[in-house]
Amino acid sequence: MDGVLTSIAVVAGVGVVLAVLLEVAGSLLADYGDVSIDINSGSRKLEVPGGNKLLATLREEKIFIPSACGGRGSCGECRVRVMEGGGPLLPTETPLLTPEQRKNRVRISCQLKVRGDLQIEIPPELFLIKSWTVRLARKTRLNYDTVELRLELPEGETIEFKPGQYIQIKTARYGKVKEEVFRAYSVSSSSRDNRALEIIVRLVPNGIATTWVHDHLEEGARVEISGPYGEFYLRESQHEIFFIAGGSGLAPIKSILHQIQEENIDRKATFFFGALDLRDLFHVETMREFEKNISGFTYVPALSNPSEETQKSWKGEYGLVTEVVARRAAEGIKDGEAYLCGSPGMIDACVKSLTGMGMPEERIYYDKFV
Amino acid sequence: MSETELTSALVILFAAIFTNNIVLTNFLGLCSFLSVSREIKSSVGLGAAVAFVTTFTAAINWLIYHHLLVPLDLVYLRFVIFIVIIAGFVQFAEIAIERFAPALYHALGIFLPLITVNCAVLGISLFMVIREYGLLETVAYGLGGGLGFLVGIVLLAALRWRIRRSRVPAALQGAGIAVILSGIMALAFVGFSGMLTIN
Amino acid sequence: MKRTPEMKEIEQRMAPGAWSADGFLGDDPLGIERIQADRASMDRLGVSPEKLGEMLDRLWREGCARFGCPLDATEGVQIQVDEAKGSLACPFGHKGTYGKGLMQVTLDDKTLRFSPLSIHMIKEHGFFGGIGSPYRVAPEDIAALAERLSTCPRKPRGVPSPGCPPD
Repeated sequence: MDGVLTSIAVVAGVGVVLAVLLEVAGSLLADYGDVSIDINSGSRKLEVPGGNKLLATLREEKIFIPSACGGRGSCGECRVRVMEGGGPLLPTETPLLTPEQRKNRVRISCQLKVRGDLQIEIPPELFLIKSWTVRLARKTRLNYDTVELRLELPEGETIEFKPGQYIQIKTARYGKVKEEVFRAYSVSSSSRDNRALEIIVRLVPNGIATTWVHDHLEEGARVEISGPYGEFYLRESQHEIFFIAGGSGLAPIKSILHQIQEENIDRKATFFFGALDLRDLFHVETMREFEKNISGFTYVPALSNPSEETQKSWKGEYGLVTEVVARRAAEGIKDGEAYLCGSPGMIDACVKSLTGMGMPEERIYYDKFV
Repeated sequence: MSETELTSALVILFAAIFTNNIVLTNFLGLCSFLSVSREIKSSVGLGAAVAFVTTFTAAINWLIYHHLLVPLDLVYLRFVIFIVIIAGFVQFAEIAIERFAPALYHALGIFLPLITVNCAVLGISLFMVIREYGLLETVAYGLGGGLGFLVGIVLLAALRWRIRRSRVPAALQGAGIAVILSGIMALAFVGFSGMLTIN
Repeated sequence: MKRTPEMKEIEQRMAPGAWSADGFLGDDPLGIERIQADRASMDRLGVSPEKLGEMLDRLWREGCARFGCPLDATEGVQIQVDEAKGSLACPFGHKGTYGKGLMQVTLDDKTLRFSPLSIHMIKEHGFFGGIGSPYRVAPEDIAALAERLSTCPRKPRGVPSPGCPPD
């Protein structure tokens, strides 16, 4: 009996001693203390506890670096320039950075752990970004694969944004999806309505966020958003405006059209919207209303794959949106400004076509989201 | 410390690297040996980490064995106690490496905590008991055993680098050819035998 | 079969809900080892995944230029490419990020589905998707597609429905 008790005591004793030693070592070694993060050569200085990833640390301090994958190292959007501190490049960062970026000291902030003082550089617009938990007030089906969400801010909160900018929304866990992600959506509502935002979400096959929005998000639900982000907005000038979009790319353009109407901006504008067939169109009445209320504005939808049924009644344009632009706007292009929103392929093709028709590249604006 | 003790320790140190190499003579620790030897840099890192662990755990285990287990007549607990000590020490090594060498920490990945169940580490502690080494000899053997692992894994990594463009049959790619190479290396190391002897 | 930690990590990234909604492995009992099985199929067919990947890249580019409008490549082969915004890294830890989107290639009565990431994984990693995954394409089917494209004359691009622009 004695032997059994002693052996139990010895094993337990050794275990306890080890556990205590490890606790002590752990807290000593893992304690990075407070570190200072200098942002943009002194425009902001943070004193934060070390030991966490840079993205999360900045988020705690209400500085929102854009991220799509929520810190899992799969999207590469949370890029930050780390001028000093930061340590060696991690194997989880290298696949997401070009050699150019690595030379410029760009790091992936969701992988980099804050171990000591840092000096970083971020685009100053990011300081203006705030985050809110909003309520889904209304979910409207616009067509067979597109919905519009109306998100209301909490009592007393307002959001200031330029029409054309986008917000990031955080999805929730659902079904088999065990992780949350962040996705960017342009705001489609008027910027005068600063207590709510509307966004347009098109279903992407196998897409984590769009599946959640379409199948699981219900009115009344709470959603975390941050914003506004983006360089896509109407420039002040007298040039004729050419809007070109497809699918959910209509959203920022709708917001800008609200702005044109509300501020009585007196410029000729045409909106070329590319779609396959009638069922891909949406907000057609909204566009017709804009045509009535904004002098000089024309809405030109173009169908590139119409069914025989559609062809019997369609009076509008046929063809790929780039061809329709070439057909209808050849003269005005040289002195115009273009605002593009759509898939990367569409944007590339449009830029090529527009510059080919004489529009200088500096007057072509787009949000590629890539 | 007497001269014979020191000589003995030195002999054991060198023997553990060449003639009684823990991985090439005793074929212990093959899991990480075969997997990590795909890349030379991580092999050096893992080998160094293993050497660090074996040196200290052998010494600590010696102290616990001779000053706790033997006096209390609990020698049969050595397997449990040694593993617990090794696990604790590897945990400590993990925390330290993560703090001071984060790139190495990420490069080793799961293989760092796997050192705990690396038979070579437990084997060195058990051999130290079987061969009845003194404390100095144990430290030498722990260090030598770990260095022997380091030498073995770096050599295998270098060989695998050399044959990377050779036409290895599809069925033998990866682990297959690595085991064959290890066998040939073991044969080569037999050539060292007789140079030094430890019982 | 015992998995190395790298393979486990890759399988985790490919699981549903991790980096994509439905994942890349479907309910394949072989999991990531489907690569070995597919490699055997390709050896038998005498095709290389790199060549197949290059062909798919070309089809994607051609399809992209139509902004979602379908395109007839040749007898019985129709391509439709729908791009989506955002980018995805490769679950194998390969450098670079890949666009999102869907390319549907109809070969007679079969529809094969691809995304830029799945094309990359075919070309560089010999990975055709696990059985049951929405982006799974059997090597035999792609080989048949390659065969059809090389033997039949390419159509002078354009979809045969009236009103749709020939280009």
